[in-house]
This record gives sequence, structure tokens and C-alpha cells, in this order.
Amino acid sequence: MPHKCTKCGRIYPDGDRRILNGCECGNNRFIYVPKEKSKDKRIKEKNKDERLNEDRTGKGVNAEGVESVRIIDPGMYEINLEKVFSREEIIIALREDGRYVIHLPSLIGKLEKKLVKRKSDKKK
Amino acid sequence: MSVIVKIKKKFSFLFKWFLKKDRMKIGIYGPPNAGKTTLANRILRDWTGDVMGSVSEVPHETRRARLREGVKIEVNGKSVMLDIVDTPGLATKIDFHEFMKFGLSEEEAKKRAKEATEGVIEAIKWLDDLDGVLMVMDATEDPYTQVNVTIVGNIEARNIPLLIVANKIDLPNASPARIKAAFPQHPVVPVSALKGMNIDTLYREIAEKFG
Repeated sequence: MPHKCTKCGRIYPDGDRRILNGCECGNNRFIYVPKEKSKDKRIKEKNKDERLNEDRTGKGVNAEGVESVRIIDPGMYEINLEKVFSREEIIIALREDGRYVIHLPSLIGKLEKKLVKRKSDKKK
Repeated sequence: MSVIVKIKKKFSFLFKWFLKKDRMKIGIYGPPNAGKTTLANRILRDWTGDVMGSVSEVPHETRRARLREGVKIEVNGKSVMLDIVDTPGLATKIDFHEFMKFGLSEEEAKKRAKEATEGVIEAIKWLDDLDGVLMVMDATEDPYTQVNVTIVGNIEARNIPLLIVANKIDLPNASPARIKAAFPQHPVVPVSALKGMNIDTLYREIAEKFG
């Protein structure tokens, strides 16, 4: 297990001579530190828990936003499935700077479809 | 019980018969690489001798919804006429870097990501026109995902009949039981669309559910 100097915070791997001889700063007191791997594991577990919580609630990363699609960068997209399911119009967020685009064809297409349906219903 | 209710109950089968559509439009939904197009190809090959589209290990191979009309499925004397819509895989994040791992150039990968995003929107918009859904899940993967939970929840909210297909049971680490446990309110049919395993049970369930 790696050792950390209690004075300067330098970390020495297990079996390092300086743990016996003293730290470069002159201090000879050390504490055990958990391995980096265990830290990674903790982060992974935390991410897993967060993901599960998201999954159980059915909400995603963007569940709070208004946008259906967020363009993070060219070729990188985040899709808010809940919003796409629940709204007729498509709102696209451009990166993180608060600029939004409402995709009109998706909205107009729907309205036209509804109008055509209404007209055909009236004819009947 | 009032007379009207009694009459309604007695003749409900007649109402159902009159209201029944002669053709059901069924959408195949699910996350990318669950085997949606492989299943569509299997159904079409078995009943029409045709195929729906190409399949690939690179995610988001299907980026436009494809419709195949007039697929007649006959099981145990019961037949059902289906219009089958194979939809692009639904995802919450699409990153072109993922496609570059499969050897695509940056330009190709970015184009694929853009088309895949459009495909997700198109797939969801198709739900308005459907009479039933075949939800394909990869039985080797964890079913408790945001995509699966959101799709199933929204299909339930729209009252669209749903049949869950636990695909890839030919793989050693497949666990259809995990999918059954995750969505106990819906019928789950374990199959291997690629190998054709248990596919007759799926046809029977389709005829039962959508017929």
C-alpha cells in the first residue's frame, strides 16, 4: 500500500527505501493511502449509482432542460428522449451557451397533417 | 347490472370484430445494436423471402425508418397481416468518436452521428402511427437503462400493445430472465433473431397479441 508523508504530502510506493529512511523533506512519519485503483472503483460505483437512479426515475441527463437535442460539438449529440416523446416540436440547444433553435419543419409538418385530417373529417 | 351493460358485454366480441383492423402497423424499437434489423430480416425472410436492410456491428447502422407492407404471418390457423416498420436505434447520447473506433473516418463518423440523431427523432415520431410495438432488447445487456425504461413507459402511456423480444439468447451470457424481472407487466419472448432460435414462439405471440 502506498505511503504518504504527513508533512509534505509526497506519496511513495510500497517498499520504497525512503519510507524507511525518511522523506525527502526530512519527515519520517507516513500514513497509508488507498490505492488509485480503489479510488477509480469508488468513482465507478458512484457513477453506477447515479445511472441507476436516473434509470429508475426514467429521467436522463437533460430531463430538466427544454431542449430535445443538445449539440455538444459537431458529431456529438445528447438526446432528451423524454422531451422528444412528449413534445411535438423539436428544440435544439446549441452547445452550452443558452442558444436554442426551434426546428420549425417538425412543428409545421405536424400542424399541416392535423389540418389535412380536420379537412378530410369535415368532408366526411 | 343495467340492461345496457349486459347487452354490451354480450355483444362485445361483435364490436371488437367490427373495429378490428385488417392490417396492423407494427414498429420494431429498441436501443442500437439490439438486433432490430436482424429480427426484421428474420421475419421478412421467413414470411416473404425478402430482407429489410443491412446489419452491422457498428452501432446506428439503421438511420432511417423502413416500412415493409403486407407481411402475412400464419400460426396454428390464425393469421395476421402486418406492416412492419424497422426503426433506428434509440439512444440518449451519440458521439462520433464511438464510430471511429470501428475504422470510420472522422468525416464519415460525424455524418453517421448526425444521421443517427435524426433517426432517433424519426423513430419516436413514427409511434403516432403504430398499432403495436415489438421492443427488442439485448439479453446479454443490463435491461435497466434509461432508453429501455423511457420507451416502455411512453408506449404504456399511449396504450400501444407491446411485446418485448429478449434477443441474442444464443450468446452464453444472455439472461432473458433479467428482462422479464425488469418489465414483469409485459410478455417477454426470448429469441435469437440471428440463429432463428425460439422464433416460432415469437410468431405465435405476435399472432396472439396483434391478430
